[in-house]
Amino acid sequence: MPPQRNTSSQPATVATAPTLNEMSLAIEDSNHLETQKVPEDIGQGHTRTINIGGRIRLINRDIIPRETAKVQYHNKLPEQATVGAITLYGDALTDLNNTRHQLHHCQGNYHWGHIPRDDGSIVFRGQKRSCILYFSVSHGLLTQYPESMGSIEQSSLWRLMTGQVGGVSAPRVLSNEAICTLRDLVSSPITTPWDWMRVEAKALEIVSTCLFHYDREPTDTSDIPLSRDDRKKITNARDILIHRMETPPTIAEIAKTIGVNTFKLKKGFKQLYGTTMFAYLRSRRLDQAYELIRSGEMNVTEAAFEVGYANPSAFSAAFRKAFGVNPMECRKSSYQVPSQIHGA
Amino acid sequence: MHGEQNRYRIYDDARNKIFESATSKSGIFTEATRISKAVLPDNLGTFESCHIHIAKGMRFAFESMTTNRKLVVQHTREEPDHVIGSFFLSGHFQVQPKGTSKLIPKQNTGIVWSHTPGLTYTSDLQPGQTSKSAYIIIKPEVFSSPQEHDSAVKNGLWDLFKGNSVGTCTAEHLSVDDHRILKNILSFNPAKPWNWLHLESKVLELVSNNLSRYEQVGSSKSGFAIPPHDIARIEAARDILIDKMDNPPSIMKLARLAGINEFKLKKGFKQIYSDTIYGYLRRYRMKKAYEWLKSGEMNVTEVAVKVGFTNPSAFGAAFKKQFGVNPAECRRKFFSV
Repeated sequence: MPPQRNTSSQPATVATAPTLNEMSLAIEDSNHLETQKVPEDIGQGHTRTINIGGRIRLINRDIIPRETAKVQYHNKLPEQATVGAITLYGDALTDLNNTRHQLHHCQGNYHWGHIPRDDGSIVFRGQKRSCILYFSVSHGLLTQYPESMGSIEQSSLWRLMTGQVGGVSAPRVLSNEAICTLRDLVSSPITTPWDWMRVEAKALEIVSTCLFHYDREPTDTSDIPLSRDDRKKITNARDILIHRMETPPTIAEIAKTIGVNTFKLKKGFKQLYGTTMFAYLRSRRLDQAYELIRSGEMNVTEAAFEVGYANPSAFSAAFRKAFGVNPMECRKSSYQVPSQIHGA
Repeated sequence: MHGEQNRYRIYDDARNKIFESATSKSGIFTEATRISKAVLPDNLGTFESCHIHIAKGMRFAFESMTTNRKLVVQHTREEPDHVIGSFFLSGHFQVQPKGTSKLIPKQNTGIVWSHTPGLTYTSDLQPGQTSKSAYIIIKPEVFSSPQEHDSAVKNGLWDLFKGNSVGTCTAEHLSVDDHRILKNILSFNPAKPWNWLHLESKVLELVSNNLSRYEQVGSSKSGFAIPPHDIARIEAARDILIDKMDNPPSIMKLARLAGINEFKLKKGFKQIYSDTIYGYLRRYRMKKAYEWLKSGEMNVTEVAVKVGFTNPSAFGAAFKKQFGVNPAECRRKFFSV
């Protein structure tokens, strides 16, 4: 029997967790909302859980640790659900204990995995904001669809999400627009039944978008072996890229600085983060421009220049492609709508 | 599933019935078919009618008709256990809830939400004209909550969903967002299973957007708090507007007269009076015109001028659009008695 939507609005609870080690990915029957503050001795931030009755559980972990923090999770990964991790801000590194998978989270990318009973740890970097939104999706969500669908060629992610196979998907990236939608979603208050409906709608949309990505882009199976040292170097390359966003170095320069060849750098970057170096750079630039424009801090031309676009019309075109609106419209809308106050 | 039916009747311009569809029970929607199409005679034009069974208790339907002659198409939808959102995208529709004589006239586009024993849609078609409509059909149980946590929520549409009330919500206009979402839904391709997930997400989004529209205006949840001195100024602006109804100032001028900035005035006005400044003025003018005509003190032209219409025929058209009768008839009706 398909689960019943339960749209009752329950009061949000705010509690202080003793540690960050507890993170239940279990899907429950009822809707509920819970926010836990990050303990003060560790840093700032919170973990917000949104349980959408019977189908999806969202957990948003938004943290700025004082020092680099390694969190060892006590909870095992669920058997009846597939888990996704979407990075909304910053970066982090997950290590799974039994299967030895390593997930490189960076802003905009996501991984999906069905690894029942495994557990792991995550490293958040000190003094940096990391925000990871976990999706725990019940296998029942997709099995409700018509039987005739079974005959079509299924994507790797479809099999993962219906629990037919186990493993971790290669990373992919979401559009800037989708990331912004998710940021709004996890920070806006959920009080009425229609707020719950909106959250459910957006969560389903993201799941469908991810499935679509894996259908369109055939998985590149020709992975190259990367040593622990290589991974570290590629992480450094990413930091250099972000640090010098306005005047980015060439790939050859970066490769030289970190000490790997350009082939390995390009290929390795794609393998770890699910995107190319310059697509990542573009996405980060546009994201920063979006924040500058939305906050009213800068006008469109200033923001374009700030993030390294010399040509405003090229900037507008790229912005439109990433966010679905012109930068001008984005500025106007932010002026008219008073900024939402974080409710829960 | 008993008693649910969809029936089409088509009349020519002399009101002779030229087609009647067999009763089609919505019970034909099985898990396996998911999509069903109604068949209408193709010698009269192009008809497309499609029902999509999205999930348990949730369906989406779409209809599009283009005729080659003048026709009246009557579609009766009897689904007493469902809340139905009817979205009119183009054409001329009238909606009549079963068992009442109440007609909900729609101009070109709009939305009607209802939870009634049945609905009859009457669509007047001109040759070559296309009428398009979409429907969301939902069992109230899909959203009902076992606990009554939402008793504090005041929302006319939510009352229909909770099944506490039976009836029809006031018709609303289609918003830009509604159009965007409907366009997205109508491009649905059933071949890929994730598109079904996407479809469900868009239907939920549409319902959610519509619910927030029926949220009580002025409650602390919606909008922002208006400082008391601004409220006084917005009220003053309203008084000026009404006072100068025959020759209303521009919004910019109105803002200056009331001593408030234009943005605050527009935003605050909408929050206090749940309408735009000119929308409010239009309604107020019509209300006054109606009262004055009824009193019999003035003739139609005098009333038109008094409420700010320089062109009497424009006044006549606006009046008829609002009340369904032209002003002269209205005056006769009350004054001759």
